[in-house]
Amino acid sequence: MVFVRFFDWLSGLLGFRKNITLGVYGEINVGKTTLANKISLDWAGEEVGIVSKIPHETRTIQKKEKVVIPLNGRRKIVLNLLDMPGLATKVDYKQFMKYGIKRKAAKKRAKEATRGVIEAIKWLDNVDTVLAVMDATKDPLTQVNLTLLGNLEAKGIPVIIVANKIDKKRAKPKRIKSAFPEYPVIPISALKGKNIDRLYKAIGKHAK
Amino acid sequence: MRNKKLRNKNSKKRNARKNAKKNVKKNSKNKRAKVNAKNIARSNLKIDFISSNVLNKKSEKSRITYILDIVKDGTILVTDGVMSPDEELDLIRETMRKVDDGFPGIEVCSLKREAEGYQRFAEQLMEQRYSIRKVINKIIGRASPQIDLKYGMTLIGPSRLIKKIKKSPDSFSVFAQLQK
Repeated sequence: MVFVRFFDWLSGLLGFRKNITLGVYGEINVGKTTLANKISLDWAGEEVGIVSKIPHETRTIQKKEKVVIPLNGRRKIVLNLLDMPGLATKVDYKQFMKYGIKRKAAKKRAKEATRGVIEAIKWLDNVDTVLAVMDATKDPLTQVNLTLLGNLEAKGIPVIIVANKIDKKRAKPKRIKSAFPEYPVIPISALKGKNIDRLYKAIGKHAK
Repeated sequence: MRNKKLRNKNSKKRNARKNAKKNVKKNSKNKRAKVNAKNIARSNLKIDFISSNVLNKKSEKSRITYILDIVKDGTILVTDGVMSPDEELDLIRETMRKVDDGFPGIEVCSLKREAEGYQRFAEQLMEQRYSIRKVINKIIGRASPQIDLKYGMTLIGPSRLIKKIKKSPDSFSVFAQLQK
């Protein structure tokens, strides 16, 4: 045990291993959990959370520790992967009722969702790198995205913008690139696994 | 003895009247607020244009409370200033705390005017000073220090009214719908 710890410490010191806390942030229903599941399945063999079409399915922070991604040569990156609840400025319980959820359960879900948003904001101080997930089929210039990126910039936290859902016909990842030219933007499909290697390379390059 | 009893009776009556008055005031205030919110939401659209000077005079916490009180009443607020990203997050957090059956949240949009040259340098300096003071105040248990809004424009409204905000880098369009 002591020997393993010493080896871990030494490999970290020599730059072979990087330990980082990676937060998956973004608006609701942009595919954060699908992406976290893909990363976790690829490198840890387990999923992180449940994916659903109903907004605010992830209402608490889902964690997956020690997700090891091998990089070039001997180098590797050890992720403490955090799948965050979706950020939003509004949570309407009536929105959930459209999906067949009863009023009482919808109200409960809304309450949990608001708590989830607060929790996700609180955790911004504890992440080393952020994957800001955006839906490539939608307009990226939303206040939530701008606020998130502004905060990360002010805190000096490295960000990789993930333009998700490029498997859909309406996807326009170029729109995200032109909206945020100062950030690395990786167009992917977390669902189909398209371009996911590019994302791993970007994590290895930009993560601190 | 009789005098004492009379005095007690009178004081009880006075207290009862006071309490009744208080209750009437409270109820009428609540009713007025509810009626205002209903009227605004149902038929009229109220937009308050507030100078950033008003908001700059307030501390961060009371500024957010002030904004949310206005918006929760069903009013759209427009001001000639932009909050810092940190404050915007605080606004979202505070909104989430206030979400209830009648208030699902807010819609926000801001246009920041990029400061140039000396103004930009001064703005950065102010931000640094603010973040240092904020950390120090947090350690010694004081409230967050005041910081002025940046150059630009912000619109904040109840999400019940504002259905969509379409933003481009230099402008935004607001689509509002009054409830019938």
